[in-house]
Formats: sequence, structure tokens, C-alpha cells
Amino acid sequence: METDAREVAFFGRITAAFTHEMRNVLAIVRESAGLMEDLLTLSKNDSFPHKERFVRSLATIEAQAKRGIELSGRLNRFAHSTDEARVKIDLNQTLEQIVFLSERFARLKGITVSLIPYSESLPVHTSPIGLHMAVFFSLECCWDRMSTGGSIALSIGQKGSDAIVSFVCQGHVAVAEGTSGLLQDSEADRPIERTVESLGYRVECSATGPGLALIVPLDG
Amino acid sequence: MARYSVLLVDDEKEFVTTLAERMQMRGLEPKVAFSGEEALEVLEGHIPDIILLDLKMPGIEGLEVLRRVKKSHPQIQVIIVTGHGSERDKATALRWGAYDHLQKPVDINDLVRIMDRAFQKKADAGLLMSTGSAWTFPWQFRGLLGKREAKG
Repeated sequence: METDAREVAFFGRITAAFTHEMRNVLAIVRESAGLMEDLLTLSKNDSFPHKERFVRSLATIEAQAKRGIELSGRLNRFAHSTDEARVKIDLNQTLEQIVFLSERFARLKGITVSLIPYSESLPVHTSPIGLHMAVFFSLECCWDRMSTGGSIALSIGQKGSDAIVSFVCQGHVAVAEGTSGLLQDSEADRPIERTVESLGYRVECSATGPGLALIVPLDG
Repeated sequence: MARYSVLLVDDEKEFVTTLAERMQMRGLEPKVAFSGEEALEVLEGHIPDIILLDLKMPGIEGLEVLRRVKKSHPQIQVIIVTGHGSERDKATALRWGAYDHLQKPVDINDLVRIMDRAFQKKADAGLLMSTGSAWTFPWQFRGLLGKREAKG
């Protein structure tokens, strides 16, 4: 199914609006828990049955509200990645966001994903949602061929007018016979190939070991 | 400890009344308005030192309230507290004179510290013209006043 840019932007707009509402809900939960905590502080000399459990439950509510705020914030940023068809974005920040969004998928595969940030800000003029897709599909291409317990390390480099995102796989990686690396010209590899082609990127198998290199023009 | 009056403007009634109650416990003098229109009406009778202002509200939106407040009462420090802020809104709010732009939810102790700084800035500029002392409350929670000072 092909989705056009207007549909993606609409989806992002509605999702972003709802993440804002979720923030309001979480803000109310957090303030209400905070008020109960304030009241407990005021009555610290008093004791009542199950006070310990009450305090513990309040701490749980606060911690989960905080977690929800982080998640809704991330989802909000992701939804806003559909705002502009092409825009200048910082590669470090965007990859940090994509790694966060990928963690749940990687965890279900038993794989950990980490990012070694570039030493400085590296602006890239590209489609934000397209970059998200290209990096996510590259990660998926890696973890689909890895055994549980492995890890993928992303790092960023620059060569001429391109940024290079390297995906280095550690642990057992299953490479099909007769192929030179993770890309196997199979149906499963089509999403990444179609995505990188439409964005003007390239994806290559790593020359130094199991992994991929995603080549992103700085001014695409 | 700084004593000042605060007007909280937000259409999320549960949020704003709970926040006001927690501020009251910390020795502040909050008043609430549930819309931009209501906030502008309050200003006809009382001028607070600080306004905490949401951006997206039915009727007059937060940015318009900010614009009108800074035009009529430039001495009021306005802090945006919103769950809806885009980077564009943030830039506009700061350009139009907002003291700060915060994303909801904000830790109350952090918020009070920011309000203290905003009030201090106003005091340093000799702009203490508040009529907020008219906003009185029947009780104070000394325990939380101590907590605020200790964390302050």
C-alpha cells in the first residue's frame, strides 16, 4: 500500500494533537499525586493504617506518569517529523530519537541498540520521516538476521558531501550462503531498498564485518 | 522568601486548580482563570506579579492573551506553561515578551524557582506595582513553606 505525503502529514497532525492531550492527562495525574504527597508531608507526624503502602503507591504513580510523559513526548516528536517534506535536521538528535523508538522492537528480538554520537552537530537536509524509515528498516534488516543476545551499534561519519550511518552487528549473524552480507536481494529487503532509493540515499553491506552503511547526502 | 501573586490561566480545570492548591501550600497567592477572556477580566480588577499561561484554549488563545497583557501591563511577567507548544509558538512567545516557555507537566519546585527568578527580575527593574496583595487566603501550610525554602 502506497501512502502519499498528504496522508502522512494528516496522520502526523492528528497523532501530535492527541499526544498533547495525553500530556494534559499526565500533567493532571502528576499534580494530583504531588498534592497527595504535599498533604502527606504536612501530616508526617501522623500515622494511619497502611501509610507505607500509600507512600509506595504514590511513588509508583509519579514514576509511571514520568514514564508516560517521556513516551508521549517522543511520540509527539515523531508525529511532528511529518510536518515538513524536507527540512534541515541534526543527524545526532534524529538518530537518538530513532534509536529510542526502535528499542521496543529490538527488545522483542533480544537485541540491544546503541548510538555513538558524532562529535559535533551534523545538519542534513532531508525528509525527516524518510530518514526515520531508512534507519529503522536498516536496523530491522540487521536484527532479523541476528540471534538473541546480540547488539547493534550505530555511529556517524562524514565523507565528502555525505553523512554515513554505520550499523555494526555484534553477536551471531546469519548470512545466507552465496551472499556477501546482510542485504540478500530478497523480498524482505525491498522496504529498505525502496525507501533509500526514493530518498536519494544508498545502503551498502559493511566491508569490515556484519553490518550496513547508510549513505545520506548532506544536502539531499 | 519572595511573596507574590500569580494568575494561572488554563482551560484544564483539574490541572490548574490542583496546581493552584499546591502553590498556595507554598505560600504563594494564586488565582485561576479558565479561559483567555476570564484572564483579561481578572486583570481589570487585580494585577498579578506573574501569569502562568496555557497557549491552546477555546476562545482567546494564549498568544493573543500574552500580546494584550504585554501591551497593557508590561510589568507582568508571563510564563507559558503548555502541553501544546510548537517550536514556532515558543519563538513567538519569547519574542512577544514571555519570561519563559515550559512544557507541561513541570515539577512544582522547578516552577516555583522559575517564578522566583521572574519576580526577582521584575523587582530589580523596579516594577513592583502588583495589587496581588488583595488575594488573601485563610490558611498557610507552614510545613510546605519550609520544604520550599529547603529545596529553594
